[in-house]
Amino acid sequence: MNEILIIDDEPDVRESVGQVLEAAGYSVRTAIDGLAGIEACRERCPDLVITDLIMPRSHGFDAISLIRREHPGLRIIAISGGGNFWPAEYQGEAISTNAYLAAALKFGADAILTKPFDRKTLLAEVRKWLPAPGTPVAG
Amino acid sequence: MRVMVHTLATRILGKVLLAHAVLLPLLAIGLEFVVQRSHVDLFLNSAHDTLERRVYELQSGRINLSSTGVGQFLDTAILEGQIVFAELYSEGHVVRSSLGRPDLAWPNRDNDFEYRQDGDNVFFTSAPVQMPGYKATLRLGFDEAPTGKRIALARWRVLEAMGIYLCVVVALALVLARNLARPLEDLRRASHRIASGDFSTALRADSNIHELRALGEDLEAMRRELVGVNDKLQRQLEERVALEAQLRQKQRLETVGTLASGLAHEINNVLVPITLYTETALDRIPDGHAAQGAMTRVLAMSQRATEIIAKVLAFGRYSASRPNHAIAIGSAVAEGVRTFNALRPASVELRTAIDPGCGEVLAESTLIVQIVMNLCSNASQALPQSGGVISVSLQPVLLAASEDPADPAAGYYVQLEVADNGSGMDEATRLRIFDPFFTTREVGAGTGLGLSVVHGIVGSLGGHIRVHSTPGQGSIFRVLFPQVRHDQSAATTSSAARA
Repeated sequence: MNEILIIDDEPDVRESVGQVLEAAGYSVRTAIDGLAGIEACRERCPDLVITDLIMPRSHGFDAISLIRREHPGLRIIAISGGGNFWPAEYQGEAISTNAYLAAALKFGADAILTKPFDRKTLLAEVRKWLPAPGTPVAG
Repeated sequence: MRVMVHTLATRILGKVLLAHAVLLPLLAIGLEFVVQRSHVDLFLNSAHDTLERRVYELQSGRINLSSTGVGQFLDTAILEGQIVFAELYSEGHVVRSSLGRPDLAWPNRDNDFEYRQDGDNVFFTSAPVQMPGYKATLRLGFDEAPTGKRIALARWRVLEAMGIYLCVVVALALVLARNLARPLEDLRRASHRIASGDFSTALRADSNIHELRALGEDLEAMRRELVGVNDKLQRQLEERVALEAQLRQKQRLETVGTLASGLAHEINNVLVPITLYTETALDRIPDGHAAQGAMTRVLAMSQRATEIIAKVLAFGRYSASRPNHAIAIGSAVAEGVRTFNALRPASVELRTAIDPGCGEVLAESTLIVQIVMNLCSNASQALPQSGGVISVSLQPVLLAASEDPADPAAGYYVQLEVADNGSGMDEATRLRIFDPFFTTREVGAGTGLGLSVVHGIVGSLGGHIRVHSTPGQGSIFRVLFPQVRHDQSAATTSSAARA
């Protein structure tokens, strides 16, 4: 009921975010890139996905659109540190963080968070989509 | 042997002289023959006429035919001139005038007397005298000398005339040569100048001769063509150099941008665990614990790092979708000035001049404020400890078209100027001033990102930024924003302004 899947290629990011979420009462799974993330969703669908965008082997964009297709009701939060690795396939607009994240929305993410974020911001966003454990679920 | 230079003059002259060298002697010979012939004929006719008259006189019976009478007659004939020998031969009897030349004698010839015979300068001739009962031969000798003198004189006259004629011909030939050579020489000299790269002088053949003038006109047309081509090539070269410089600059900035962005991405990733772990750790540190302060600072520093990284990402790479609402730029600049005014050191004087008629530009207020803040901050850094003056001005401008492709297009702009009277910068610094991380300040005194961010924002708003600087006197940063024109309604003013 409160499972969050974290997809990010940085182990420290996975761990630190996981730690914060677990301290808030969620259960956490992790995946190291888009492909692994898709697999994990197929194995057992989580309640929320937090995914990085730029990852080696397979980017978050593909994962987002695929997961969105396979699990329409699943909430997805995209996170990104921005930068200049605009994947070749997604030629298009700027290389600023804003544009990355705007693109993520186009691919099907429900929300976006820019790295780095602090604990408060992270939890606020997560709780928007997934009520904290122990909170009564509406209707 | 002197080498003959084959100039036009020598050629023409040579040919003229050659022709005359052949023709003149022939002419001279012909003329002399004619002159001589006519003089001789005159002489001979005169001699024969005289002879006939004398014979007639004798035959008329008026002369006493005695020796004395004949002698008188003969003397008279001689006295009348021309005749230097006179004798009458009759039946073996000769009466000769004593007034004749003593050295002369009747030559042993009866007929075929000719001019200049025997070399004695005397023309002998005779004629029979027929009278009833009297037969005689009148023999006369005419002086050839005067005729000879006249012929010689005539010969000299002819030679004189030939000489004068030749001089005139030579002079004319030289004039002709000059009239041909001078315009050609002019053309040659002008062409030579063009060959050395000097296209400034026009080509002209100053001549009445149609071919030379046409040649001059055609060569001039060619020169103009060359000048035009030259100018065009020059311009293309300059354009190319300017574009290449632009391209290099762009590539440089792109490289830096790429590097910086890659770095930023990595740092952002790293900052996530730093932030989150530190927050978690702070939870576990009791209040008042020594570590609490330090960890709080860590958190603050990681926040600072986030801001720096955000600026780096902002460099040159603002969101490609431009803000599409028009704002009154005057008030945005005023806000930026107010903000800076609150933060400036006391030794820095701030002067502003914002034209109320600046109108609107496509931007966001926060971006304009950021531009003003960064420029003022940079100007403040350029001032010495003792302070100085920063002038901020904003006014509408109408830009004329420029041949330089690096210049903004013609049109209506709003110009923001931030000037300082600080240390100024040299050319090397000026060229790199918008590069990210380029700073002339000391380590730790600044990231060098401010101006690169300004450059990026200005670019994303469709504007232009230039800096002019004089070392020791100060710098001026000029930013041009395309002005939003509402030209559907105010057609009159805008068309007048465009004229």
